[in-house]
Amino acid sequence: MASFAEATSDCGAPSTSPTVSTVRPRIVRTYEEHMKYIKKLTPNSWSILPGFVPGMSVPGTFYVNSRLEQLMLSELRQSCDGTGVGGFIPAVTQIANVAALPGIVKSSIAMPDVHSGYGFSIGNVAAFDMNDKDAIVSPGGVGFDINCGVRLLRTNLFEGDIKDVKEQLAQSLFDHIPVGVGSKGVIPTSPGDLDSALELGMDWSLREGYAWAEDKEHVEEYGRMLQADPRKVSKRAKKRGLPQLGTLGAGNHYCEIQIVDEVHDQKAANRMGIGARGQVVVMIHSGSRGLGHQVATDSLVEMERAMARDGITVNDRQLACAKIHSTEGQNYLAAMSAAANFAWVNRSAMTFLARQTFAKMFDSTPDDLDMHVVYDVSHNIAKVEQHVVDDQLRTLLVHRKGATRAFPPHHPLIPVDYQFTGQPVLIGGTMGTCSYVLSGTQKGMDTTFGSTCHGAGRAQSRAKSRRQLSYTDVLDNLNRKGISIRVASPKLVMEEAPESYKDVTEVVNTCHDAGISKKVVKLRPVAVVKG
Amino acid sequence: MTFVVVGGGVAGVSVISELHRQLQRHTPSPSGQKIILISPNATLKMATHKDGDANDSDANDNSSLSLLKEVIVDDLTVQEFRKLQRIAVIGNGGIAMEVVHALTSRVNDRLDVDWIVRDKFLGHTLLDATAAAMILPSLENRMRCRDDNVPSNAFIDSSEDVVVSEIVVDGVDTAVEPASKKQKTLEHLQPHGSSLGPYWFDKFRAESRTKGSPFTNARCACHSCRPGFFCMPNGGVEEEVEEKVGEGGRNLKVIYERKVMGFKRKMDEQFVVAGDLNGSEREEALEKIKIVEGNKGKNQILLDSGEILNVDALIIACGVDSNHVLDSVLGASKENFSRGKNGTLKVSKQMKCLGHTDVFAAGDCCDLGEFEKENELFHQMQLWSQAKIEGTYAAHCMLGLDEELMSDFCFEMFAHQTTFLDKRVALLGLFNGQKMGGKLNEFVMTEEGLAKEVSEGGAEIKGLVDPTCEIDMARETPPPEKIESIVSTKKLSEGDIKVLTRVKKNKEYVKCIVSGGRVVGAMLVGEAVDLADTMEQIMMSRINVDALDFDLLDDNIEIDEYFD
Repeated sequence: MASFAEATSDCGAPSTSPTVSTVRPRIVRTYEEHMKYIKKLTPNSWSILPGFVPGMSVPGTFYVNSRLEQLMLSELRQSCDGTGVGGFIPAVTQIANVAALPGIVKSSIAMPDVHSGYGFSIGNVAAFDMNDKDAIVSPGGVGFDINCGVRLLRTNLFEGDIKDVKEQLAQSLFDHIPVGVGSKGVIPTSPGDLDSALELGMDWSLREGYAWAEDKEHVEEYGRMLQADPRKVSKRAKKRGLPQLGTLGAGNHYCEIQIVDEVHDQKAANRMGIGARGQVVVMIHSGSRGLGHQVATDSLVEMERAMARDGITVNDRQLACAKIHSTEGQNYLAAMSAAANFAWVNRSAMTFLARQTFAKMFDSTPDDLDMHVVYDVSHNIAKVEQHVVDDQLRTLLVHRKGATRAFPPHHPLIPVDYQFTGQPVLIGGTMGTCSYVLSGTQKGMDTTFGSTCHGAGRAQSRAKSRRQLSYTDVLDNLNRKGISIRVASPKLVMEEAPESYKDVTEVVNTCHDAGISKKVVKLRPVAVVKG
Repeated sequence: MTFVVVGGGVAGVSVISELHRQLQRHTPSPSGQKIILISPNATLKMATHKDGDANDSDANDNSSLSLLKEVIVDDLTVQEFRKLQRIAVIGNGGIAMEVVHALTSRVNDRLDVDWIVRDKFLGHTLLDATAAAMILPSLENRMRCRDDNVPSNAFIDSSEDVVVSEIVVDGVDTAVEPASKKQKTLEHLQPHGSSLGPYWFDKFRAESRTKGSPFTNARCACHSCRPGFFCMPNGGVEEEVEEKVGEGGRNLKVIYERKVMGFKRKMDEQFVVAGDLNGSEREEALEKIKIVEGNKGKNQILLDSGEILNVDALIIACGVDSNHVLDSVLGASKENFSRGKNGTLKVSKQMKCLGHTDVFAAGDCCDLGEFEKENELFHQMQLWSQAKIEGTYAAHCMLGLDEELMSDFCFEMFAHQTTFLDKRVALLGLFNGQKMGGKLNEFVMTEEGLAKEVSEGGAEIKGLVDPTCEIDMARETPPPEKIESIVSTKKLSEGDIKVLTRVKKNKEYVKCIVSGGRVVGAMLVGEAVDLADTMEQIMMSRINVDALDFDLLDDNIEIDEYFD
């Protein structure tokens, strides 16, 4: 496969091609041969045994129920039957490829909403031993939208209170969000502000008056990664980020006004202040946008070069990585942390906006409306954490890409308010579908490095062989003209990804049944604001 | 310091807003700073959210300047229009599309529209043949069903008096000069802008009430096509318009690949030659109008085919006229300026007119060749979105803040998002192979080939999505009516260029131009606009997508998730 990341330095010079030896050749097997390496462990989990792909030092694990497992396996089958030549690697293979990275501990773990992504699949959790000098960090394990995450604000309003004004509320939020692509030319702050924001995260928001002091308490890492170093963020990344500071972002990002629809764990819900059915909450889903994208791309280029030097071999060129303690590894962690801070500043800006909008609409104050941050989770990030592996406490670099931290009750890193409930986990459904609040469990801590799903809509399955169709006259005609054609029929989608599978509910229930997180509250959207 | 801004278009207003904003922010004691805007029109234009009333540039800024904002293209509903039965529209750009859009939805029950375009398909500069093929049906549908929800008085009368406001904010003087004063100081500047603007119809209304023909307007004396001008060749004498009552129905006829050679008013005997023709065309036109005999008592248009159209009114909506306006603004000093394409002013990367240290240009009047050279994915188009960033950036340059603010980055890549005829459209980078030279032709031909096949095959690809349908999975072709979307790729023979497209009839159209493994341009129409942000990020990050091939546009793969 050709190199994915290239030519991204400030000067735009193409990177030197890494030597071929950094990527292992792919094993060609039939589906049946592959299946000898895949075992069902429990009704909700499967194991991928070492040997499935070359170089695996640990197994892979994925959590699926009986219906989601069909998706995983049919995807693998299609990739094996010869016609499926394309860029997308099945998620099962991607999980296994990660299990072959140097320094990985215990298992390469995938959540029920796993699907193919750049290098690492979305929904993959992988931990690397900080004390292993060969252990690596990989930008592909974090994702392009660094610290993409979800924040939930509560209110003391009820559905009836906003029934007549919800569209005005949405409009009022929308008016402050730049729409569409392209630069608007207007820069909300100065580059000096940007550097401070990158370094200070939510401390900057607090200083500038956009956040409340108590907000920080309910945000992972208190809304500030201390390793952040703005000097490690390229000028190009800053240029991309500057116009977006304080904005929601576009794409799959959104801000939703939601209603508490079902309460599954009354005690925990009460603790979070969202225990009443019909209560109004605000969910903000956003990330670091162009800045994060550029930080990731810059690092992929830098690491590709370093891999040949350090003799790191991987199964897929998209898995560009560097030793944690190398210059490239440290540079990435510093820049990634800065991008994470940027994302928190953005979610804080949106919080500020939501508070002002509600206060204005209800002629009240955000305080009187009880608009506190319930919690703020990051689902694209790598963090240094301590976990017990093989009865030993070890310091690990945990990559979560499309997966959410879900620490259990009594964990020292979760806020005092949630010591008895476990960490709140916020699961945003695909825009316009329902969302969930979950809580972390001890079982999750023991088995998945304290992680659970992230819940964005699952990408549908890839049915390559069956889509390579060129039968009708029209299509043949195009073919003769040198235009190749592929047709997707709705049936393919129907067979392998029925609506319910894409629904976040299926994913959340699987995690609940597997015991890696517990359902607390189900939320239903009533108004969506999209960037 | 005193800043003088000439022009009340989007660029001019962006300049003063941003100057004002930055002066407040950066100047410790801004007293003595003065910003003067000279505008030929009473209406200043500013790009805003179309759906909301807040301006995204100064939503949090309570300055009086925000009062000046206007939505760029407004609704139109005018009594005079109701009398008209046959209107011709000339032009094929964004304005022409807006005009036809308005005509097809908001006016008479009985109306024939002849839309004369020079090209093979609609929206030549902004779309391609496939996108045009997609947009046209929705236009034809509109003609059939009248939109009664549009308020008939959606149009606000603009006052004859120029809005004069002089405000002092923190010591910064911001003055909007009244028109009368302007005419005294700049007499050679005609009250004429080159784009329609929100109140274009009022302009017509005012003119039609005055006796005599609007053709006698200074800028239009030669009957030449001046962009944006509404000409009613009967001189606005309403009584002369024949009224046919009871003949309901509206028709739109698009006349492709035709040029207008000449015009004739009711009262005239002879055709006059259209003004926007080049040398040889002009000669041809002169020959033609000698031969043809006009029909006295009818307003007529002569096409290069020899065909003569009878119309009640004509709307000219073609192109941007920077040359004439600039000549009149610059006057005798015009020799001192370096001119670019269509007579625009060449500017440096600091928006300074070449050879000048204190004269800046932004908007339709400037030539951004320097940025085009430097930034691979940028090309200039005379659009409001560019006028806005140019104006804002020019303000930074005037204050010497451009480097500190790193705001030249807005020229890194072309990006424009809008709505044409109810379809959302996003255009990114070299979306039609701009700057790709010889490769472009083959490329456009491919587009046309695809458009044709898709629209011909379109008869078969009807009905598209039926989520309940059952198809045998044994590797059989789904019957055409079950086909949901077509993904295609075409490799151009020259260079390493691929064109990927995806079509869902009536729903969306995506086109990606991949050069050397990187996406360098994308056009997204309809639902596909949701992908615009991801596409923009992929292009900005210069990610190599060669290996993905088809999969990049496979709608079973959510690329926004893949690159999350």
